[in-house]
Amino acid sequence: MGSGTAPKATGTVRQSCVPRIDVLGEDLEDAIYAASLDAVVRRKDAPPVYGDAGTFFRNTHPSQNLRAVARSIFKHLNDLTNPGIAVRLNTGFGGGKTHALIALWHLAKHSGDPNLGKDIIGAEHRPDRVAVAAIDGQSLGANAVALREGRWLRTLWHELAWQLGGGEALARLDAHVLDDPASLPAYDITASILPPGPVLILLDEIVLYVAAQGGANSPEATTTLLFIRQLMAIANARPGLALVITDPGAQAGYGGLTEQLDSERLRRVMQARNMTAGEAARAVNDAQSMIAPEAARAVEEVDPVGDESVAVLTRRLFERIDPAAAAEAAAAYGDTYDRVRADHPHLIPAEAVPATYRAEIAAAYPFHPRLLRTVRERLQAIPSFQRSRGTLRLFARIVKQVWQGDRDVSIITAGDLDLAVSSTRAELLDRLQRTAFVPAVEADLFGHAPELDARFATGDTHTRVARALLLESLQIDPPVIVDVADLTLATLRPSDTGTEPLEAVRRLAEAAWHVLDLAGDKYRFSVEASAMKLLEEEVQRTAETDARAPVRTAVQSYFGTTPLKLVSWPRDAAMVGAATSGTLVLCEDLDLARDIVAYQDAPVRGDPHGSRIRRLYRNVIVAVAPRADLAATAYRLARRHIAAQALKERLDATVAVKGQGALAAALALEQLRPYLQRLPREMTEAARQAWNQVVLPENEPLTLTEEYVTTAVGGGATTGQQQVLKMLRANGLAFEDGAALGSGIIESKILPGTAPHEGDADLFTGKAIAERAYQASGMAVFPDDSPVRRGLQAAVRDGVLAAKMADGSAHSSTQYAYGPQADRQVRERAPGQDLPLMPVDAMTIYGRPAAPAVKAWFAVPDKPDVDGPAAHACHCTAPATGDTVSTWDLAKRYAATRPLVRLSLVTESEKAIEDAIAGARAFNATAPRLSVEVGGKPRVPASAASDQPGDVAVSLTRVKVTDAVQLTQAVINLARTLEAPGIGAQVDMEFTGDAAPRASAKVVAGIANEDRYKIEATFGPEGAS
Amino acid sequence: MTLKEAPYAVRATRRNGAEVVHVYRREPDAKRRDRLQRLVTLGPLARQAGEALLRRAVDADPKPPVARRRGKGTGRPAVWPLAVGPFRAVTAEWGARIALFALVARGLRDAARLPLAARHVAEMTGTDAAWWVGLATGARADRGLRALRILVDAVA
Repeated sequence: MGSGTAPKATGTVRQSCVPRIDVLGEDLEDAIYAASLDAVVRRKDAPPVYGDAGTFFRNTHPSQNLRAVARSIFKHLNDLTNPGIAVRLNTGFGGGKTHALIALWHLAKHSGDPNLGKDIIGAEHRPDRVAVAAIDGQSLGANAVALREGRWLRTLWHELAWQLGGGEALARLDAHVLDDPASLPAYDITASILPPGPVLILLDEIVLYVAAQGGANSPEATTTLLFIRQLMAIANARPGLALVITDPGAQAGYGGLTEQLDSERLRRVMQARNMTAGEAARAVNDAQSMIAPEAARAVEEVDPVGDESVAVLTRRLFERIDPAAAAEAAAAYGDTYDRVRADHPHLIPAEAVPATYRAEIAAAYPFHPRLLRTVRERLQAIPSFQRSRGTLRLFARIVKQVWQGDRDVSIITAGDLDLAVSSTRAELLDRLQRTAFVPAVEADLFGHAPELDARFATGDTHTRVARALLLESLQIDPPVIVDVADLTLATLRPSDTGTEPLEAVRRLAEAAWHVLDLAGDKYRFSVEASAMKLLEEEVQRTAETDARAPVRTAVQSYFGTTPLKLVSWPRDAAMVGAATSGTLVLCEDLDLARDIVAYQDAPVRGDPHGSRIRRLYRNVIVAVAPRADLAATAYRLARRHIAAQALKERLDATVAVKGQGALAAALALEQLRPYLQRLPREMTEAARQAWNQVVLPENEPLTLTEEYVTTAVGGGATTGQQQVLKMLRANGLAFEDGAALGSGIIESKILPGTAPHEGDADLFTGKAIAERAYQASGMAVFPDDSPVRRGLQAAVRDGVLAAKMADGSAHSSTQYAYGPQADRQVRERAPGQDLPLMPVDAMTIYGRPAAPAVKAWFAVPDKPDVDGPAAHACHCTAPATGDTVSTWDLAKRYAATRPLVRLSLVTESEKAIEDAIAGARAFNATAPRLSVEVGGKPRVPASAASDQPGDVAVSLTRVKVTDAVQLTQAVINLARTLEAPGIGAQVDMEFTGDAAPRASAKVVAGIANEDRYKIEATFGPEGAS
Repeated sequence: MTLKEAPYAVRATRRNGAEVVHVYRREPDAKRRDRLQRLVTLGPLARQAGEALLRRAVDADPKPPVARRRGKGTGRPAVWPLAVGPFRAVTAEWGARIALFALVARGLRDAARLPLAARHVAEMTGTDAAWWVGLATGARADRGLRALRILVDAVA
């Protein structure tokens, strides 16, 4: 987090600087930046910026070195008593040599004019008149130097004679020496062509002339060298003579000399002797090796630009720069670096820390010093980059682009280099032979970076960072690794908080195809594709339809199978049955979901508007469908995840082979790793969020808002179904757990539409009532049948209905009846006494209390004379109290008059355990206990039949039936592994209070599959309850 | 995207002379209809801090509705600046981000930290933002919101 005061607003470069008119011209011709001595001296067709002395000096920064060399030369020109001087201007091609020679030419030509060139050397230090000759070696032919006096001069000495003395001097020379490049004039003859008084001779690009003459093996070239040696010797002896010779030298960090040559210069060398490019290149190198020792004889060596390249540059490009604006920018940027450094020390490089950096910013204004440093250290290390004219041309392009662009800037940085501008692009990629970066520029600079800017609303931060990174990375031998601090310095603006470049380059490394993350916040723009491009290519190879499966799986798994029955991905409504249990349907799209909740048959092909069957039980169905845009996001992530996995497998295989490409594959794997970790989670979460349209039959689709989707925090995982129900319940659209259908609603809305039982309009089965509730309009969703069962319980309690259970017992709001019709017992219900939960099956009959059939349920027949079992004509001897019986017949007899206290059901049937549990359920006992015994021999394969398999015996003793589900399943599974297993199960039940007479009634009525159970029943005394 | 289709919407209004932005989310109303319901409001300070986020959000709709009366201008209403009064549809992705930032910013007054929080929220994927909205509006919203505010540097 940044701190401190808000940055000072700075003026913009367009407001504070005025570029020179040629910089903003329509056509930025190369000639403007490529000084040619020949164009100034011989052809007289140089652009005014070079050809016109006034314009030239206005555009020329008087660098210390240039002033020094001018002072030195003019001192000797002024001094006609001491020997002259030979000066060597020594830089690579484009190092400013020719510019210096032109300066000396204009100074000498206008030596008497005090207003010209006074910044470089004052008129008081210059003689009134100087004889000056200049030769540009790159414009000379091997055997034709210049057309003078109607003839082609063939040698340097003839040309010098003509320039210094005209036709007369030429004729004098002709008398003594042949115009033959292979015939060296004598020393005295050479000396004689120099006129009396101050003489200045300028020789530029002699290396190219010597190369054009054929280099080391050519007698003409050798003669030229000897002539130059003569001239230097004369200069060191003759007063008032100054000789200036340039040579490209051998700059450290430069490649071969010929790599610095532009195509035009090389072409001229090739044409001179009809050489191939290779031969010409060799000739140039030969020439340089010949010239260098000769030039080294010069008494002074000067680099005319020295370390003032910034001033040279700004003077050349700008008419005016507001120093106040420069100071303001320096202060604003300096403050920004201090502020950011306080919060994030690693983001500001050491070079920007000293207070002197502010002075550097001011001096470089309107350019950022980091941009100049990048050009100096990165681009000038590229052999094909020409130091002075290349820099000048590049910066001229940038200035023009900034002035013609849409937005103004407070300082020009590497981030402002727009490679969409064809001239800038040509300058950086074509001229520097970096066209291999074109795909990277297209994909990342023009594609990913602006996309990220748009996505993260970060202005143009990503684009600026990508541009700066590219500029740094153009040096590929050795490859540059760019620290994030350098990128920050190169692109940070005072309005930024400080971390923007860092965040941008990190995002670029994730999204871009050619930005390599080299760990430790170091990056590089690479010609080779990063893992991201490989991933994108893999994504294109992955079928879109393949992405649906993992999304569906994630959604299906999330929604789960309880409490609602899950129907997944039906193709049409017919695939969703007319179930009466709560159902949740997962649909592929919203229209299908609407169709499914509305209809239960599929639309007829070709007749979509034909009559269809409306869904009958519409209050038990909920459909969930996706929002199309969110589903698309989930599919996209799934597709990417599939592709990432496939790519990982491919890269793993490449790494395992350890052959060519293993290193690159390992690097790509490293880049891919975070995606492989992140994508599954993102895909799953996106899938959950996408299926957020809840469709009910009577409602428009409802949105499942985020709080019902977010899960798995602090272990509170839940299922999609539970979340859907939670949302529906929160909106009153589903019955709560424990909620009941109101008895009033049952009476007014449900019963009127319920199918009567056996034609009696006052009787209904529980099943019919439930089905009617599931169909009724205006109802909430029934997750299960408990709201109906509770509703029926309430309806009985409230006197709306009475119920007759499957065992024959009957309940009303006031009475409870049990026993066979002949021996019917009716008891009054105590106030507050609760009713059992009412079944909703076809065996349970409900009726309006006033109906005759219902009254009959509670009618007591006339009693026989003798009460109790003893009165029955029976062969048994029933115990009087607390007796135990072990047959169904006796039990039924006793149960007619006595409460059942304890009951054990024993079964050895094939499904003994299930039967025992079913028996317990039939009696609805409070805490039934289950005992199970299983025994037998384990099954063994035939091959091992001779082995003794041993015996298995397992028993469960008095386990609570409610807790026994998993145990009994384990026992059943065990039994399946036995050969002819023996299974026995017993369930023990006890009944107290009201449960005892109800249990007796159940015995009397009988239970299902009674014959499967052995019984042991204990009864209480007659009349006890 | 029309307002009827929009999962989120924003609407600028004036309150005590300052401009605030209400964030609406589609959810069931009292009559069990899926309608845009006001979820949270960006106060004047948060509205300034989240300016870029807000602009991006209203600008992100790939298919903004055409103006009702064609023949005026381009037929597309200007998306920015956000006019006071009308609702503006927002996509699910950007709606979640705006809602999240509004939830984070609610009650905060640190003018230096709010823009930082807005930037962090803008950087989240739509999926992550929606996840956080769920957490910040769910059963234990206070805890979720407290954690989120720390994560996005809205508080120290």
